[in-house]
Amino acid sequence: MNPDLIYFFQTLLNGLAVGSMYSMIAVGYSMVYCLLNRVNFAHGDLYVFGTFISFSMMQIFPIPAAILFACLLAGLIGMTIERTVYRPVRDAFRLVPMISALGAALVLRTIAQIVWGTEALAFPSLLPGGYLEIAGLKLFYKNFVIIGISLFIVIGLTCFMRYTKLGRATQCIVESLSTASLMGIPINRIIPLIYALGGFFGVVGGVAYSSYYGVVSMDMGIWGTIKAWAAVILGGVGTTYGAFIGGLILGLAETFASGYLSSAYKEAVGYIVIIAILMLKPTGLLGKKRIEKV
Amino acid sequence: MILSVENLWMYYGQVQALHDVSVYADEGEIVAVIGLNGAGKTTLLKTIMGQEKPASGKISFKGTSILGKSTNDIVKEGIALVPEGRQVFATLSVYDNLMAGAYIRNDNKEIQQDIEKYCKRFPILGERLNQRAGYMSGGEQQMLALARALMSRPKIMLLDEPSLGLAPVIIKEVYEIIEEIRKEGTTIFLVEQNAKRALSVSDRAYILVNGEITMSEKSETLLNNDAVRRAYLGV
Ligand SMILES: Nc1ncnc2c1ncn2[C@@H]1O[C@H](COP(=O)(O)OP(=O)(O)OP(=O)(O)O)[C@@H](O)[C@H]1O
Ligand SMILES: [Mg+2]
Repeated sequence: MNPDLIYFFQTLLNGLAVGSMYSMIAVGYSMVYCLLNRVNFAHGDLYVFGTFISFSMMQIFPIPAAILFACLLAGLIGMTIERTVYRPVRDAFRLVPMISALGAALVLRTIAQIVWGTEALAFPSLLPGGYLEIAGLKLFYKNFVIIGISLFIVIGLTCFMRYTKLGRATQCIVESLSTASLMGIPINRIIPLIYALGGFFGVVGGVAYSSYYGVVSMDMGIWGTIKAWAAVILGGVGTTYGAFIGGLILGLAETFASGYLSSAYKEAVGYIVIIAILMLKPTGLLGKKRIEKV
Repeated sequence: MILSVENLWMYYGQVQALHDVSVYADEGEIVAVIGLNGAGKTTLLKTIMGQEKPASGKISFKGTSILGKSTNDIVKEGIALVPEGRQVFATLSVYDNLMAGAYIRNDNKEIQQDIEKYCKRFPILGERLNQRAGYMSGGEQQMLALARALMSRPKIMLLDEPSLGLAPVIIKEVYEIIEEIRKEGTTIFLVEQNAKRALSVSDRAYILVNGEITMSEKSETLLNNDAVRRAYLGV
């Protein structure tokens, strides 16, 4: 095959894998974002905290058990954050929850730094190595595993939201808390679950990311918050698949920018794409809900 | 007496919104509360639904107090509110809105039968079943809001200005539906600025002025009361 074409497909596959990781971190974030209608500053630190937990647990327990434990723990912490940081200030001025969330983020970050130090740690590669070569094209297995997992999550979550009673109730809550409660929906019992899902799937994305790049560090926190937010804005607030598509586009744009221009443009191109799309369609590509100014 | 509110006082911070309000509804009645902008109509309904906390007073449903219960528990008791401005779930389909209304029920087969029933009664809902509720007109959204509230099979329905922002023909239709709902056994407690409609359909009515009930009479009597006619009917 033409080397240029090979390079193109190689970049495409990498971009899809990177985008899939953004998507995983973004889908859980998306629901919480809708609920709060503002950036959840605690999400980034929570998913990294969970990834660190899985890292430590892997030293003791079998890997699947370690990951599951970390995801569940992050879900639990997500619920705790809702209860302690968000619920008491639910009706306060919109900056207040943002600040109290920053407080929660700081607590998680400080604990992480005490336990795991401030340096990045080498994360075991849990993904299969090797590749399949077809006509000069190297199809890395790990890319397909990542894409597969994120597809599974987004399809699963979309079905959950559409076809289960709990999922439907969640959609109502996300659209309007007060109207949802008028339907008899117990909002204070369901909201913590939404936060739990956000934490749970955030850690799935975090573990995928860390094993893809072989590293886990606290810096992934702020990075994750920004990428997840960007993916959600890009794809459109209010739908699971919106966050998924947004993550994919962001990953593709960044990977192509660094593959064809220079890696220095990687971040910038991501944001140029966001601005361009928001100018054309203010609700995001697949958005249901208008994005409010933060 | 299916619903009774006694000596309700309610404040928003320093602002007094309800001043010693006592109202009730008997089973099968249509009761109206008439008041101008800012009289406290919405506040009264929100307080009954547990969405606002009163400073003092009693609220009971079928003889037992519901004061202090959460909104979702109050809905489970059998009270449904059609809120001001309809508040349909705009991004959800008409079908999903109706399903949301049936949240407290678990009899799936009957839920589907009810949806079919309301699609016949409100043909527009049947036509638009899979479209987003936000794309419907105000009148169509009002039909959806009514059907959605009925999906919970309430014993009493509270209506917050069902005629708000609707064309006269639609208002007429809405009020015909309200009468039908009562005929099927659901008690109606509605608040309105549109005194003419509300007084012609209701059995009894209250006049609410600045958070205070100033009159409580048979609706017919109020329709012929000079002060009421001047203040609310523009004659
Ligand atoms: N959330 C709030 N905070 C402070 N004051 C409020 C709030 N909601 C209502 N009020 C005030 O309480 C009073 C009663 O308001 P309410 O909305 O109950 O009136 P209403 O009769 O429903 O009016 P309208 O016909 O305009 O809907 C008004 O003076 C209003 O300004
Ligand atoms: Mg009102």
